[in-house]
Amino acid sequence: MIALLGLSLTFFSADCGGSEDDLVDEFGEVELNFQGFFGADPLVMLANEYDYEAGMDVRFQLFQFYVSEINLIAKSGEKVRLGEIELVNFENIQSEDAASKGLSFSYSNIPAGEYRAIEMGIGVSGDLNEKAPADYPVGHPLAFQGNYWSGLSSYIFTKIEGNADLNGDGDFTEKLTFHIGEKEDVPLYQTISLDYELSVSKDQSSVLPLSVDLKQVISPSSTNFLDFREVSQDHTNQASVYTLIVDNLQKNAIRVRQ
Amino acid sequence: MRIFVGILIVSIFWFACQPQASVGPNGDLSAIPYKPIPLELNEPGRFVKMQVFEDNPLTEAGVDLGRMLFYDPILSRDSTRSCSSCHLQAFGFSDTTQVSFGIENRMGKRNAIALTNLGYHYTQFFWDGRVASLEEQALIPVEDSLELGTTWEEVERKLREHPTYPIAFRAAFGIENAKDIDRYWVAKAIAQFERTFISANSKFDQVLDGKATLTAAEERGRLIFFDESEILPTGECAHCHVGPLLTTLTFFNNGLDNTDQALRDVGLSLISGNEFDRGKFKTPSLRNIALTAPYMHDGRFSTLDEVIEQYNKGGHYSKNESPNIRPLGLNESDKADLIAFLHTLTDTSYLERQDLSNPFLP
Repeated sequence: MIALLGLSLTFFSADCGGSEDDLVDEFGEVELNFQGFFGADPLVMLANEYDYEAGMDVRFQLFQFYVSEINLIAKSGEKVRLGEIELVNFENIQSEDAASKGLSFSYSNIPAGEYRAIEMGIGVSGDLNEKAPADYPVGHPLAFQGNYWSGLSSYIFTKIEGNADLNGDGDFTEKLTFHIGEKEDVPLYQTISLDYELSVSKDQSSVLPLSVDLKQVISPSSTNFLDFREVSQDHTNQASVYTLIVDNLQKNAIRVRQ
Repeated sequence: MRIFVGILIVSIFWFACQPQASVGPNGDLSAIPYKPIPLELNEPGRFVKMQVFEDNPLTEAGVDLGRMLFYDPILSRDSTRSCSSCHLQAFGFSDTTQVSFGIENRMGKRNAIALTNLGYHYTQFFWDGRVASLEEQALIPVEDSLELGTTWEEVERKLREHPTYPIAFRAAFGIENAKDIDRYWVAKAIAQFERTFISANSKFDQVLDGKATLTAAEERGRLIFFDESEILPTGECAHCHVGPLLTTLTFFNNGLDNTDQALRDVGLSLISGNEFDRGKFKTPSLRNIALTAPYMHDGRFSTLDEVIEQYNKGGHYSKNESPNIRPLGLNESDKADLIAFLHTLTDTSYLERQDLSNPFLP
């Protein structure tokens, strides 16, 4: 809440008078690019194995999360909507080449001008989460039934699936499934803001490069990590598990790529 | 042979009952009025709306033609097999044999997948996802030597020379001449018919609509199926079988075999060329699952009990086995209740729909 208040104050205190920071009536394209990492290494599904905490190793099959209400913040303070919802899904990133390209989302007709930040909600925003896959056409990020819990009337905001080798013997038979979605008493959606100087020019494409570190999500420190020897599955019913995942995805894992 | 003659007679009779029209000299059809009537489907509100295919909109005549072609063995080399030979309406448009048999009793490689709500399958058909649309799907079995075992050239010839099919193609697609009949119109007609295969009136649907109530056992099974109880064991079923279609329409390695070893059928990997797709198959819908035995892509399980037991054990480890496949800890009561719930997915009205039935039968 404090963060949101701070953001609001920033917004209202922005210089809204006519200046070189104003957006102009010309349009360009913005590409939002997410690259996945596990610590310093590229995040590659299935093909790569990663050292984990306490002598464990880990391999992933799926890492995905929703982002909602994606806005650019102009230097003038004006918000420009990039997109309503996207599914950032690394499932098919199965080589380092694919990892280096990352996942891109393109937005056209973005007013030309100078921008200073991007903000987005991590998860599915409240308004969107009140709907269901049947409300959307085929191909829409929210139309996929596999990402919706009908019994809980919530989308699954984040999925992490893979395998763990619990003792470093090369046997990855421990199955990992962490599915995080919103329950009535568990609000999990939060907006983040990342500073980035972005210039959008008429008929040009500008890239906004972001990184997502899955290690930060499940193992932010050597004393604070998901211990697969104790927990290998959660469907948002163990607070210590889903809180760690959600908090770290929202606060620590997503950064502007340098 | 008697069946073929019977179908020919009935088909001529069927066409004779249609508005008067006849093929002109040299196959000319242009004198026959072409007035396509759009067909509006009664789509269930819970379903994601069916995609509109601008190059193949549903029409009454198109669906009628597709229905005839679906049931007509004219598509096979020896006029003994049709689409409906392996997709039996009484069994949710599935086959009852472990793998399907084509002409001359040639044994196929896979169990015929049940056909339900196909218009909502927006991508990748067949167990291995080899084609992207119903139109493409309909092209394949005709020339598969283990299925209908003929050539499209031969089918096209038979349809062009048929006494009545050219009229039906004219009505469906406005072709000008019988020689314009080709495989692509056939595929479009069959795809149109298959898009009308909507099933949404099972007991479970009625429960969702507030018109029926599950028994205690069925409800317990539902909770296990959807992992909705904090007390009962989780069935983990709904990771793959979810939503109104009871399938995510995606591909999983569900742990039937250790797919890191040699495999008789590598599934999606054969099509994608991706080693990480070994042993992945399209998740089938569970609608009418109690009627669509045997189960799995190779029909290896004869009963739902066998299926549940397989999942209860947790599958065979492979690198790409879905992590959602894990030992479930279901006891006999849990398994029985889960199966009781699966029986609520049967839509008997779908099995009895006249508009989906064999048009050549009285």
